[in-house]
Amino acid sequence: MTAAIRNLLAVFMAAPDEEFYGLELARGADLASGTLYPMLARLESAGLVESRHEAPELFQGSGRPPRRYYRLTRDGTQFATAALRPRHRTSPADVSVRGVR
Amino acid sequence: MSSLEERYAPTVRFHSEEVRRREGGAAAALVRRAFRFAARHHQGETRLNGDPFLAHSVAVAQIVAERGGSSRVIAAALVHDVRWRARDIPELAHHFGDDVARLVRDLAALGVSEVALPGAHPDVLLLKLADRLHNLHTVDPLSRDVQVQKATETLRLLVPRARTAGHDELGEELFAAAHHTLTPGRSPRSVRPPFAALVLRLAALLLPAPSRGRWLGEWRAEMSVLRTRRARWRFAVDVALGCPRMALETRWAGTGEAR
Repeated sequence: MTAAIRNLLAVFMAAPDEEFYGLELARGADLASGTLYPMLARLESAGLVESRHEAPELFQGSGRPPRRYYRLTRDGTQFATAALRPRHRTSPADVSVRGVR
Repeated sequence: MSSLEERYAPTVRFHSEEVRRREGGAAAALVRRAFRFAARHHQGETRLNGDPFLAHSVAVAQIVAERGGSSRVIAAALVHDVRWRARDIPELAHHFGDDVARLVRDLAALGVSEVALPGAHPDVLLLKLADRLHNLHTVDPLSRDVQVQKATETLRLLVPRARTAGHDELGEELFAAAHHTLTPGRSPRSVRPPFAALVLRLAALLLPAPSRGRWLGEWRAEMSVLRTRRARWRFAVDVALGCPRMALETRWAGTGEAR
C-alpha cells in the first residue's frame, strides 16, 4: 500500500462517521486531484468507500451540478484501521512526512 | 440527528471546517449550533416548491460562506428565517451573541429600496444579496407577476449595489438569475469558466462512457467552488493528468454508476 493511500485513509479516519468532498480529501491528504480520483474510484469499487450526491435542492436553479460526498463503509473502516496500525517503527507521523509529494 | 439534519449536515460541516481554519473552534461551533437550531425550528416546514424549508437556510449560508462571510454571517444566514419577532431578539442574542442577533434583525428590517443606500452594513448587504439569489433560483412556483417584480427589482437595485460593494461575482450571478427569470429558456445560467471546463470534458473522453457523466459532473461541481481562475485551472489540469490512470481504474472495476 502506498503512502498516498494511507494518507487518504488517515483523513477519513480522523472523523470516520463524516462525509467528505473530493477537494477536502485532496487537501487533507496533500494529494493532487489527478491522484485522488483514481484512488477513490478504486476504493469505491472495492466497497471500502461509498459516495452520494449532495442534496440537489441546495443548488436548484443555480446551474451548478451537485457535489459528491465520500465516506468509509464499515469494511473500509476496518481496512483503514488495519492499514494505519503502526508496524515496525513506522509511526503514523512518519507516514505523513513521507507523503507522496 | 433528524433525517433532515442529516441531509444537509455534510455541507454544513464542510463550511464549519473552513470556518475552523479561519477563525478557530468556537466560531465553527457557532455555525454548527445555528444549523441545529434552524433544523429544529424548520422541522416539517416546506417551501412553495416543496423543498424542505431548511434547504433555503443552508443554501443562503453556503452562498455567504463561499463569499468569505464570517462565522457570524453564516450563522445569521442559517437562522434568518426562523420566525423571529422583535421580542425574540434577546433570545437570539442569548443563543448566538449580539452580533448574530443584530444581523438577523437588520436583515429583516432592510427593505430592498434601502439596499441602494450606502448606509447598509456590508454583512447585512451580503446576507440580503445571498437571500435574493437563492430566492431567484427557486422562483418557479410564484406567480408570473411576482417573478417579474422580483427580477426587475433585482436588476434595478440589487445588481448595481452588489457591484459597488465589491461583490462582483454575486452581482453577475444575480444578473444572470434575474435575466433568466425574465426571459426563461434563453441564456442558460452561466456557472463559470468555459476553458477549464473544456479541459475536463476532453480528459473525460478517456473514461469509459458509462462512468463519464458521473465523474465529469463531480469535477465540474468541485471546480465551481474554487475561487480563483488559477485554482480552477490547476484543478482541471491535475484531473486531466490523472485521467489515464482513472480510465484504467474505472475500466477494470466497472464502477461509476451514480447512485
